[in-house]
Amino acid sequence: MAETRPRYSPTPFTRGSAVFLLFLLAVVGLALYAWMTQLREGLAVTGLNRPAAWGAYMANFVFYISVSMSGTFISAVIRLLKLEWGKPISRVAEILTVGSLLMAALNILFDVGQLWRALVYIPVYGRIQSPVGWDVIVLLFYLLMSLGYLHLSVVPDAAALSEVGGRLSRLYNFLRYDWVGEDWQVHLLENALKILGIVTIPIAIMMHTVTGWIFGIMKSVPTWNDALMGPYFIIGALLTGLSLVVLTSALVRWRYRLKDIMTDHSFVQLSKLLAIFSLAYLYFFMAETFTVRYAALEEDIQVSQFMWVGLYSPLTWYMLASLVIPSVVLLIPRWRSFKTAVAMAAIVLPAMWVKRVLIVVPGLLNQLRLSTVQSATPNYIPTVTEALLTIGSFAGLALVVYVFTKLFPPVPAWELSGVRKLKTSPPSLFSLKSVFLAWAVGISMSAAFVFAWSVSTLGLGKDSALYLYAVRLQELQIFHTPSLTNTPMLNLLAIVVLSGLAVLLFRKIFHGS
Amino acid sequence: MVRWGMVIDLDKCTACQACVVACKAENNVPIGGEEEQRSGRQIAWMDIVVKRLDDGEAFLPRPCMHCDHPPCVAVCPVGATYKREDGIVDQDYNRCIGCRLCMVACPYGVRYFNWHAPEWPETYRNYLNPTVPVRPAGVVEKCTFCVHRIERLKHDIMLKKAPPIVLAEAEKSGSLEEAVSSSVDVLMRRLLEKGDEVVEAEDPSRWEDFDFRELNYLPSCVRSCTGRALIFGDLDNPDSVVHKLSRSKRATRLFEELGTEPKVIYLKEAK
Repeated sequence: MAETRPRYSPTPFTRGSAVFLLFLLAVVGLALYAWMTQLREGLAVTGLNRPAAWGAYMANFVFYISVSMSGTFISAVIRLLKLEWGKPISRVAEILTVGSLLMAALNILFDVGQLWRALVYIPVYGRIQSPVGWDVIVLLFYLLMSLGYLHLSVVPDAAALSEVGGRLSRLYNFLRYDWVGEDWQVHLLENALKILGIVTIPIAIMMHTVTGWIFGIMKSVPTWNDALMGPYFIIGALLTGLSLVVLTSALVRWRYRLKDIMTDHSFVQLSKLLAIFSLAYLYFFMAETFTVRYAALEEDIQVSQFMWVGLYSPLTWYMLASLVIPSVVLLIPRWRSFKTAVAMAAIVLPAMWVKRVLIVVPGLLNQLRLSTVQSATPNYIPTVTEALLTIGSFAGLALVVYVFTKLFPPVPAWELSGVRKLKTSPPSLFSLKSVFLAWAVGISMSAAFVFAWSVSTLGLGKDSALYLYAVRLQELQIFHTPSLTNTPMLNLLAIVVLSGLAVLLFRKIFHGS
Repeated sequence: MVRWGMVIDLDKCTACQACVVACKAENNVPIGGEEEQRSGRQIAWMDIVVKRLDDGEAFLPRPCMHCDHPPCVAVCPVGATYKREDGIVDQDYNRCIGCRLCMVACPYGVRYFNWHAPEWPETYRNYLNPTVPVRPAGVVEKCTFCVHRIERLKHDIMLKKAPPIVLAEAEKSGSLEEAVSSSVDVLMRRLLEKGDEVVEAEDPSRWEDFDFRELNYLPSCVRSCTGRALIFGDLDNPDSVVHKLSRSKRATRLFEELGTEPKVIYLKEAK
């Protein structure tokens, strides 16, 4: 079956590619300039203000997080369920995850007032009780998992490319490890990817749930404090991610002439999923709106009015139309094709970004919570800086995807056209097995680390005793530098060392002599 | 254990905004202006808030509520905001990373972000309060119940530098905490009684022995309130004015349904 499929061959770096690359770099450069201005002037250059403390950056963050759902999660599901039609798009999905997680992290960094403190203090003083703590931890794990997954799945393709030669053959030679295409290696790789996939799925689900909880736990903001937030975000993420995967795959298929590999059949199957997810999202949207409109607190009604007939009503109606159209169109079997799939994805994707804005902003702009003299009409209008940084982060995502697809095959060629036995002997700096073990051990060690840290900070009183001591020092106005002795990290280290000793003791007793 | 709280008597409040100005002067809050007002970036730790009612409007002086269960403290990712043992919710400006999670979490809207570096007219810069840090751009700030004044009171009691009326009170109490609690109450009573006396006095000799600086241990807004509507003290001290007023039938708190247990108690306007 695999032999009947055409082979993938790498595309040359043409003048067109260079122009596109330069264009992306120019947009990213413009965004960097805007960021520098913002760092110099403070967040005053944005449209944010007091009732609307969060705006475009937060919407972007949630959007990119939801895009990340597409990739490794869908790819892992495709692998575990052995869906043949999904394989051509799995590579695109994986690289989109990595890129969008990076952009999500960047957007949070745009949003904070003190960039360097955020970079240093969150690792040093980070609190597990804060939703930001959960989000940073899960985001890092998801990024690690996605990188590991992508890294391993690229190995056979890198090996194939290393035989072609060229300027980058050193890179491909390094990335092929000891791959020669033996059966046991294919078996090992497939099992490794399955293991990583199984671990990725709960992490991906937690990623979106936790992002939903950032909003769900805010009991002071009407319409946010909602048990539905976690599942709602997961469905939204599936829809957003899938539509971006469809769009990117279509672009890749057009640019790299992969019509024979990324078949229309794959897109038709994806469009079915798109229909299911958009119907599910409509269902959630209806459930949310109905309960608010039928019986809710005064302030919830106020936010709802604001969304449906107020300033933001065009956005709401646009979003609703953009969800209804794909749900209807894709339900009709005759209309399902490559073109409609791409068109519907193109309709859904911007609407989902608008929906993120509608999640973040109207709740904050409500009038009931002590409207003050100073903000008689709460309002939020994004500025040029925010627009530049938003466009720049999209360009950044495109850049990541583009550079990757230029370096490596945008489809998992080894899975589609069969594994080739390689003639050249590998440089064998590391073995594939050791690379997989490094990822597995690295991820599980850091999971244990974070778990121990969380348990120790939560277990040792309200905050950890040492943390309270640090606060006490500050009350007494004693200046102190960040150090291990006055952070929860000390507890963490203690627990890691103790557990290490326990393991050693255990081995001594049961395997000793 | 001291548990600082404030009672705001809406019957006495005239919405004169003296507290707003006094707070800005005391805590090095930038003066702001019309532009800031319009863009929603004005900083006013103590603010007069218009609450729309069914029949007209109510004016609430609104400091930080210093909740017993503060939502802002729970969500802070780096522990920049924390509840002190005496119940004051304080902010560490050097720790704050400016993520504004606390601003979103606070139901009372009393947390303010420095959208840009603070600005004062050049002549004003010499009059900044040296005991309160000036906040840089990109951090969140909030009302602290003038915690530096309370700390100075503790300091002066320990070093016996406090005014005689305070030291006499401190002699009677067993611990420093008790001393601070009861001396704040004594000062509060003095402000309520003597303060009115001072205003009404026709004969200047009646307040010759009165040292106004004594009252500067009280929060700035309380000290400057023209209607004596703001009353500060230890809610856990059964002898204090605040404790007694907080048991009033008119006593109410904002958004009690959220379970934040605010320590600022409003006395409703009598009908």
